[in-house]
Amino acid sequence: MNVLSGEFVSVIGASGSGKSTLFKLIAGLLEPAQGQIWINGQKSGKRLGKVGYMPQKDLLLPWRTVADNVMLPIEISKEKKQEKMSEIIEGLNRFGLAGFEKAYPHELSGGMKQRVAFLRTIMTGRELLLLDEPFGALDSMTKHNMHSWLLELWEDLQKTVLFITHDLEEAILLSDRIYLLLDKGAVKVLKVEIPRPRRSELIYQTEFIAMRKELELLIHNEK
Amino acid sequence: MKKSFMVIISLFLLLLSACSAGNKDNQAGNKMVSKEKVQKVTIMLDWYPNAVHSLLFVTKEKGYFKEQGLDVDIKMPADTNDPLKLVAANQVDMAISYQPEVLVARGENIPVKSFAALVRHPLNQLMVPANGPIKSPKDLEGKTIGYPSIPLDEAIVQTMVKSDGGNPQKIKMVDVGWDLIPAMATKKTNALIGGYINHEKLLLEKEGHPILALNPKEYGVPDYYELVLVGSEKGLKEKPEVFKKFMAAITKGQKYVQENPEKGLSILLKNADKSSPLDKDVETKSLQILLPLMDAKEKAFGYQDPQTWKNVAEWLKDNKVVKTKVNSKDAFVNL
Amino acid sequence: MKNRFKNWAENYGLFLLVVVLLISVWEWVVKQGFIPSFILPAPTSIWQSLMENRQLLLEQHLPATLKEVLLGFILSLIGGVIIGGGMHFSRALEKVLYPFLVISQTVPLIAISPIFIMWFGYSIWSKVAVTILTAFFPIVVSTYDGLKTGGEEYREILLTMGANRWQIFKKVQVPLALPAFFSGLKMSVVYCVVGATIGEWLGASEGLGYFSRRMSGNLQADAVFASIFLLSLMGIVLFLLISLVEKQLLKNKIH
Repeated sequence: MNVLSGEFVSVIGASGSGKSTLFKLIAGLLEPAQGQIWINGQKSGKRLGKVGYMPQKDLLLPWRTVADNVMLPIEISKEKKQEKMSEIIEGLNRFGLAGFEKAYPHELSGGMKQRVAFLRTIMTGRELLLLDEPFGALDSMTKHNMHSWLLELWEDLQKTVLFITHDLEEAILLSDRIYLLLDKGAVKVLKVEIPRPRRSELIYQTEFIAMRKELELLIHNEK
Repeated sequence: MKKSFMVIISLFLLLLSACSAGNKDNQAGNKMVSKEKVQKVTIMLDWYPNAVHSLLFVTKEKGYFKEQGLDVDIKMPADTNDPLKLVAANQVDMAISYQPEVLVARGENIPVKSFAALVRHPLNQLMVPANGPIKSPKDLEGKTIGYPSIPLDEAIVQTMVKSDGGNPQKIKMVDVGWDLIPAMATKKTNALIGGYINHEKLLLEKEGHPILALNPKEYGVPDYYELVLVGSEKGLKEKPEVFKKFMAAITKGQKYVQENPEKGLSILLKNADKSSPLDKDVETKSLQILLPLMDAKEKAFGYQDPQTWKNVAEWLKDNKVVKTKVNSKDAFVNL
Repeated sequence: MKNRFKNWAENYGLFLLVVVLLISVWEWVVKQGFIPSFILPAPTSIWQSLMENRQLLLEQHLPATLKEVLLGFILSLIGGVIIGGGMHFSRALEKVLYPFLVISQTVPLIAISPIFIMWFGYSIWSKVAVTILTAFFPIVVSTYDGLKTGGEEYREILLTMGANRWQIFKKVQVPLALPAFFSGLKMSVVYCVVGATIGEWLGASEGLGYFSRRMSGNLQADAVFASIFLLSLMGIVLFLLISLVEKQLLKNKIH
């Protein structure tokens, strides 16, 4: 599997095909029994702390405020908290969470929590971000809002993203390339030719629907 | 099937125990009924069984109680203040307590009376290391004395020091709880009051701390009865014959112990060993000390001198151990 | 304002009613003579004794016992956290210490008290020692168990951020351990009152435990109960104080 700098790559596969495990391997929580992992052209030894990881559950520390949660990676890398605070406030504004710095996770909606978790992941400062079904638990409307928001953000972010999802629409809408994990270790790669910047209305366009059909067939045929 | 059987059995056992408990209550409240051949009596000791109680165990074993138609149950106290209170509350028939304590009790309107003097002189003496600088009470000035927080002991020390020409204000009294031995053994205090010459003194000397004992009655404290037998006012009024029979029996028992101290002691040890063994050495010495102090000489065993009671009552009042005026005549009865 | 009173009444109204009822029955039973007053004094005579002795009790004995309780509690807290935390970090330490800890709780005080007296004499420290012995165990257990509380997922996410073991301990395990920890504190502070009282019985010159023993020797049961009442009050107030602190610190923690 290859990911180029600045790319948005989705990973789609049936449950149990090992997507989350893949992420854990890349993040350094697990070690590969076979094969190798190379980051920035180097075979990496210790990968912990080198990659931004956002798991399926937001995993915001319930006893910390939103601001303190986002500050977490800064504390760990022992950077100066005061300097980063303004960055955080700005980030929260950008993410539509203005005024929520002192709120606690249990006071936020699902979508808001996911955004905080996303901001926290960005705050790790890592170039490569692993997002494991970040919008999976959200209702359809919130999800669409998040897509629009992420598409807007994408140019400014300047990150490399690996994105796990079940949602074919989402994958095509957001990604540059899609990896399909099929049965018996088979992997298929698709390129999404739709130019950026993209808008969420794309999902109604013919090319889009065609691509979706193609993906569905590929997956269906495997069964 | 098995389950319901178990339920029935347990219900049956419960019923049985309830019945027997009910029976016990009936018997405890029994007045002296001529139909009853044997009268049940409970006596609570002042402390764990030791040499001073030999007479009780001898009387029981030799059948002197039975001769008098008494079945005596000897009980142990949980706390040193219990015997007197339980007698007053009619939970036990009689108890061993202390003459000054009886007067304090009457001052608090607790209805008890002493009916016999068991140990006729103080066992509680002021103890100091034999080889130390303190030779008489006035030498205690500027020193610390350990005691078990009984106001009586404070009064004893104050009287002793004053009568010896010293200033009691210059003495520091330190409460050392119930276990008096460590205070002297670890030399945390210079002196000790509240210990008995037939117990703490012997134990300390056995551990290698020779002790000089200063007798309160030589230093202004009236001679008092260390141990007395007490009963409730109600009990003594309603069934005096029981108490008289009790005294007759133990008088015989005490005579036996006096004449056969070794045999008497072995009966005590046999009984005490059932729950917690005693040191034969210590108890033998203890009995030797006790016997002359329990001897009423020409008078009947246990006889109480009204003058002694009067003196002690006055002294307690003067030293503020008893707060109200107590008529000493009401505190005791000679059977 | 009215709402607050109503809320309070709903929560504690029944309790107060029961208390008033119990005290009334108690008073009646003793005044009628069913139980002798020298064994169980009537509430009114206890109150009277409290008033008569209030200067002595409140100015001398209560502060003395309170000092022992607070000293014992603070030392138990420090010691308990160190031991509980230490056992969490080192399996070897846990295996060695745990049996001793349990033994320390089962050895009867009668056996240990002469040793305490030898080491500390009759100073405040022998009472603090008894207090600590009685009260440090709940803190050890609650600290140790609290630190074991889950948080595996949070641990993982912190690891991916490059956190080391100590950072994970500080940022995840400690906050997660707090509820259990406070349970231990609440138990411990009550045991401190019990321990201080027992410590005074072993030898003291002041304190509520000492006072109650003296009054017991004087056969003044109402004074004994008056000091018991104050001791209970002390325990309740300290317990409530810790509950308050707990509420403040934990109000945003995990539900």
